[in-house]
Amino acid sequence: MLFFSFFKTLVDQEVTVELKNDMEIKGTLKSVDQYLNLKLDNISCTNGNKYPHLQSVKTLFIRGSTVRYVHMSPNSVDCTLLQDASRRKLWFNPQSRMIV
Amino acid sequence: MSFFGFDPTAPPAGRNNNKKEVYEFQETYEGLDEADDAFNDETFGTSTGEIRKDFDFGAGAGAGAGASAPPAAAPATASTGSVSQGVSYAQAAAPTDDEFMQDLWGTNTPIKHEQPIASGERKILSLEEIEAQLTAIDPSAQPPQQQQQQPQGQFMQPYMMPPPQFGYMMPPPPGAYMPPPPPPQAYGQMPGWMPPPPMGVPPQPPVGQPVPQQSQPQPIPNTAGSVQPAEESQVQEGAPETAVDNSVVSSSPPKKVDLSHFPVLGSKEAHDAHHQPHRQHQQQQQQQQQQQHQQQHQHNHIAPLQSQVHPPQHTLTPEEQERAARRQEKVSRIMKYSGIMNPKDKDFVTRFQLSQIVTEDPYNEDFYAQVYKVIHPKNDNVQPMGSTNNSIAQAYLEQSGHRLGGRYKRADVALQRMQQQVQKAVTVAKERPKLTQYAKEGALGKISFGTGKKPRQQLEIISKAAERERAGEVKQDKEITSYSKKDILNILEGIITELMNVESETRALHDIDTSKLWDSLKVLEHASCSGDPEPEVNPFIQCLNYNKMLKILPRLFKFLNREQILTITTLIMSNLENLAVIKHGSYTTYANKRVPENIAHLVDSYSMTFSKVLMNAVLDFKFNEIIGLLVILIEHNNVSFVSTTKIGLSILTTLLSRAELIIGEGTISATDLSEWSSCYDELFTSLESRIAAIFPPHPEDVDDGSSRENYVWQFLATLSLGGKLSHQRIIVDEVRDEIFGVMARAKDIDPADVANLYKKQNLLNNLNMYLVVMGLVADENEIKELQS
Repeated sequence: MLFFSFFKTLVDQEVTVELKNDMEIKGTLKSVDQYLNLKLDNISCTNGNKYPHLQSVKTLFIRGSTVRYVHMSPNSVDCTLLQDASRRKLWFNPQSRMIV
Repeated sequence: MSFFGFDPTAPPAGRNNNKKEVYEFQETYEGLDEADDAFNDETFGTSTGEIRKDFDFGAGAGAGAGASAPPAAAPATASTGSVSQGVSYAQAAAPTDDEFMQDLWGTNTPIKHEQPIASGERKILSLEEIEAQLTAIDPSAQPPQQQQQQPQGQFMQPYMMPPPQFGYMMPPPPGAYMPPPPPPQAYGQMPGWMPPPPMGVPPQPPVGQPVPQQSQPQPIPNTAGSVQPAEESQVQEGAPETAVDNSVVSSSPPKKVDLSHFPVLGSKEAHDAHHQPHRQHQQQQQQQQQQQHQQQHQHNHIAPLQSQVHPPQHTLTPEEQERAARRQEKVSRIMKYSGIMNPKDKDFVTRFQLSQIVTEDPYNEDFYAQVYKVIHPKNDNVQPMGSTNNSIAQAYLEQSGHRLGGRYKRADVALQRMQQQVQKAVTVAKERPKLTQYAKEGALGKISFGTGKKPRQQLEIISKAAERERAGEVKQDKEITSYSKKDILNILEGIITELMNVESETRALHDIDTSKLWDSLKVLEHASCSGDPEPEVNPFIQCLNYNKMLKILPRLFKFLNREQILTITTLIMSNLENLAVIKHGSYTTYANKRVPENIAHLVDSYSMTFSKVLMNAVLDFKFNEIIGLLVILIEHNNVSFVSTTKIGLSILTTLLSRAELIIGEGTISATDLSEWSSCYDELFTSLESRIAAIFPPHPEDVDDGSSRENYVWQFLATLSLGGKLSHQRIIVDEVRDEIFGVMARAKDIDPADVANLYKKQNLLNNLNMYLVVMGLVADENEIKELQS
């Protein structure tokens, strides 16, 4: 839920989604779900000359599993809060805790 | 031969394909069946010719039949063309299939054929109607056009293959009434089905003629046995070609004419396949549904479409027609799937999605988003609420952490419904026993069922070591006298954990229990003082060497009471030299007289966090407490060493200046004052003759003039302020060189260098902060008495 929670705060912000097929799509994040499927609005392909078929597309739904990276503005991330959130996640899923 | 003409080897067709296949089947069925089947005589005991007559033209006007036949055939050809797109058996199989069924159900055959005929009547009626429409729309050109095209064979056929939805996009012209029988047009929307060839489906217009025409290259053999393969091959050959054509040639005048037929046919089949599990009930259901749907459809679609459709009727220039056609196509594409889900379906889906995300405990499971929203409130007002489409999605996301309710007072209907849904979902989910794992015998791990919260986790590896360690964690509470780095980090994490617990409690309650937090700090656990070997230093002090501890200091101190803060400060004073920023923060310990980078970074974070926290804390301290702190500092530390570090010096400044302020208030008793002066003397003695050493050898590092503050001059100012004249004189003597050094540096800055001019001013201002205490003021050339 941490990433879901995180991406929720990015809604209505501009992000660049890099897909596993090397497409890079910039657009406004409109929605996200727990599978990190993304809905983007007003998209543009930053490497669009390679994928001309995306030129006329305005809105996209991206299956979460095809996403490699999501680039976002550093200003939209609260690092301290994120650290706290990751700790919290650790307590509530003790199984995911790495025991060294 | 495949059963019911279903070809398992055919590629799974997309929706469009399916639809087209559907058409094909019917048409081929109708056409081939009677026209080309050599054994019809045997099977029916009558000639096919009669049957055909009945089929095609019998019902309506006997005289009109001949006239209407050719046009009716035209659409059929078109649709068979579309048939050829899909690579399926349907076309070929249909007739043989029929035979097959006859073989199988010898007795049943009559029934089967009666049905088609019965409904066929209606069919024909509708077709005639359509014909009438067509001629009404484009009376002169189009029907002939079509006929001309037919001979051209497959080439032209793509032109006539519009998406099935087209048909119902064209409402009947006002004059012509569409009789109910044509199958539900609305069902053009249905996603494609690959129905088993419905046996009872009313036959379509006579395809017998069109098919041979169409497949000119391959005359269809007359024996039933060979029909199938031939047809099949034909279909496959035709497929790629027509597909390409179709996509390339998007619109042409004849297209429009055809359109009206298509939806009827295709949608009907889809509809049939979908709704009629049993053929016996077909007829009945069909009729009911047809009527229902048609009504529905007309309500839903005709009104909006009317406006779009009308213009072409009036203006018939090809361009406009083309444009209109394109527009219609667009609209049809958009409308294609509209209304697939009714509100109930939507609710169902929403409930499902929400039930996965909704949590009982948003602040824990949805911590980041929830707190982020509080910390960074979004200025919603900026957005004009034009995007109401998004409001549900927004609420969906925002509320997914909450139990939905109360928060959104002015939620609209959909939202309210969603909220109800979620409440239902939550209760249901709670009642259901939670089965999160399933351990299969012999498996190395457990198979866990993915939930919305952990979608990916498939295997849960059970680590024995991990479990043991978790059990062992509790027991590790014995006395520790020396701490490894790992211990310290553990303690630090513990502090953060407790801090966050307390913080989340404050969100819910007003009075909170901070005792656990205090315990986790371990301030009193292990006494130590400056100079102790590092592992034996009090863990809290050791924690202060880590950046993350510094970061939480401001948050931490919010939850500590005055006594606790005083205790911590006292501990720090007695352990100053155990802090990395002091221990490694003095230039004197380095050969090149420079503090290494990593320590410099730590020093920076200290001044950002620790120094500020201390300054706030000191404000609460009483005079004698400050004296006590100073005394402890002097006793436990080497003051002259501490004073060569930035943090040490700023701590001293903080304490001294606070004391001066309290003295300035004039409410201090004489005994306190005498205590203070003795304390000051002690401090001064330990500093005396080493005051110049507080200036690092590279003054640029400390103050290149770019900042408005210089901790060294601040300290000297504070020190001078508290001292008597004799003290001040000593100080001035010791730092005279530095004073002139700063003046020289200020002078060195070229007045023409406008960009750096402010540095000159800063340097002098910082110096004067000290000099002013003694009633002096300096410019870059000389020191003067302060004129007041």
